[in-house]
Amino acid sequence: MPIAASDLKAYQAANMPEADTTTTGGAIAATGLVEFTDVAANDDLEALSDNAADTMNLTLTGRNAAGAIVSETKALTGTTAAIFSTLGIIERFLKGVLASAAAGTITIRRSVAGATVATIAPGKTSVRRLFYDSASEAGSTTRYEKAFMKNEHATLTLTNAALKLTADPAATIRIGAAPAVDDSATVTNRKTAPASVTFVDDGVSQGVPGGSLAAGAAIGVWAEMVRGAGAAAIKNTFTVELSGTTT
Amino acid sequence: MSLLLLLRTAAGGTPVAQSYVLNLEALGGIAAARALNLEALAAIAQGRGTNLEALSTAAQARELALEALSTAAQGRVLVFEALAGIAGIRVATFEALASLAQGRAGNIEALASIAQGRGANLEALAIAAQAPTINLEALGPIAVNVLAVIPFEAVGDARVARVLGIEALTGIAQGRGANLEANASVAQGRAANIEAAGYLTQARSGNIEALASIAQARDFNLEALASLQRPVAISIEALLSVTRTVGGTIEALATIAAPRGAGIESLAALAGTATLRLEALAAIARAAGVPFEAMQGIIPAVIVNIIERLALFQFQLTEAGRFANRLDEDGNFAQRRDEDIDF
Repeated sequence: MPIAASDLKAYQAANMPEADTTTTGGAIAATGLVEFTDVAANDDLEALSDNAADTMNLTLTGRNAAGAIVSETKALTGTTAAIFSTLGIIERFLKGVLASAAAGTITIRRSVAGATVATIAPGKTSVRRLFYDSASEAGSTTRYEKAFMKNEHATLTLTNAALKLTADPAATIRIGAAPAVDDSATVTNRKTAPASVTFVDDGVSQGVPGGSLAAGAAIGVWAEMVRGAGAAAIKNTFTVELSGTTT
Repeated sequence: MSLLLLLRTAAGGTPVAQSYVLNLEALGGIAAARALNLEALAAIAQGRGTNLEALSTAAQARELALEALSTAAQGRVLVFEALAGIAGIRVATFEALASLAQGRAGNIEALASIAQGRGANLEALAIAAQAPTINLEALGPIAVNVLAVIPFEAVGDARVARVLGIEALTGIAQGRGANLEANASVAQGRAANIEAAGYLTQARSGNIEALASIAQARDFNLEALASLQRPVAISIEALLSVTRTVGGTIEALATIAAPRGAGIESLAALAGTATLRLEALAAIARAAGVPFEAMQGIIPAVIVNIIERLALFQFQLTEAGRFANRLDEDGNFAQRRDEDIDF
């Protein structure tokens, strides 16, 4: 069975900063996800599991229409959607954190029974936005955050592995592969550039060190976000592709 | 017969790729991006008729460079109180404020209220005071209340340049270790109220030579000087040099000399030139433990004042005895121990 696209996963790093002062990067945090689909319009949220046994707490955090960060922790009610009414109407989703790994897949969606914002697979505990609460400053500001792309195929190696930034609508991101597979490098804070990382812009393929990702191996992907002096606020996405060949 | 040829091919691997859409956010750094560059604001203010109060209000809300505000203020007619309000709530560079005051008729009371609230550099205040038409008395409560050990010369320099109330200076000096020489240099240049200077000296170990040099230069009230000398450790020679020059009242001098070990030799030198009452001189000598030999040196000099009459001096020299000195009609002295005469 060759490596399927679904075998290539994206995860958080151990240290995902929410301020400019905290350690950033580290090893892979394979319980943390980085992909979700933001709310298309201001709305409130609800969450449910596909397993009735899931009653752990889930904390949802977003920004309300006024731009303030709002949060609510609520116990899940199994397969019945729990509406995060205290959280209220949010303009953007920031993160969702489970108190413990769920038995089922947790779905976070617009309420009631609206579009899915994020899913947290069994064994995973969080999903989040990058460059959380960052802001432009009087001068040009560059920040760095780390994620991982992992080959979760049981046996096969992803050969000719490469990373590529395939979309950057805000034209604010470059990416760079970590200097080694399965590395755990950190930076003092997200304003500090990681060592030995070469950042490339959209459409530039960058080979994974060693040329391949063995089964279960992951490559760190540093994202560099540059905001010009006094740049306007953005709420956007960037798309990272891990490609390779499989037998 | 046939040949079966089995050929195997390999076309590398099958391509596979997965893309992940990661969400990000970056807020607009409004405060940072629009952080008021006060220097720029100042430059604007200089070039147009801005409302400086508005500039003040802006400055109060942020860490301003007061120098910039000063630069702006110098270029226009400002309301000084507005600037004071700013300086009062932040660590202003006082020199900047001072340079501002120099350039206009500032309300120095406002400056004073600022200085009271911080460790002002009084030199700067002094420099400011020299130029505008200020109420210098305002300087007084400043100096008294600020914690800084001020160089008194600075206040002095300010005072020279204007008609001041020396009382204010006194009030300042009492509150700190003033350099009285500075006060003297000030007082020489104006119609100072010497009583105030005296009050000042009483409160500290004044350098009486400085006070003397003041007195020489004007028509002063020696009694004030006398009352001053009592509690301070003065050099009586300095006082004498004063008395010689001005028409001093020797009674006052006597009052001064009495409670201390004055060098009566100097007093004698004084008597030779001053129009004095010899009885006063006697009273001095009696109260002070003067050596009679010194007094003898006085007598020939004052003889013109006592001719045609007899003068009797009594001197308490030591426990050993009393002397009587008699000047007869021929101008000769006679000296006896007290047991030989009947006082």
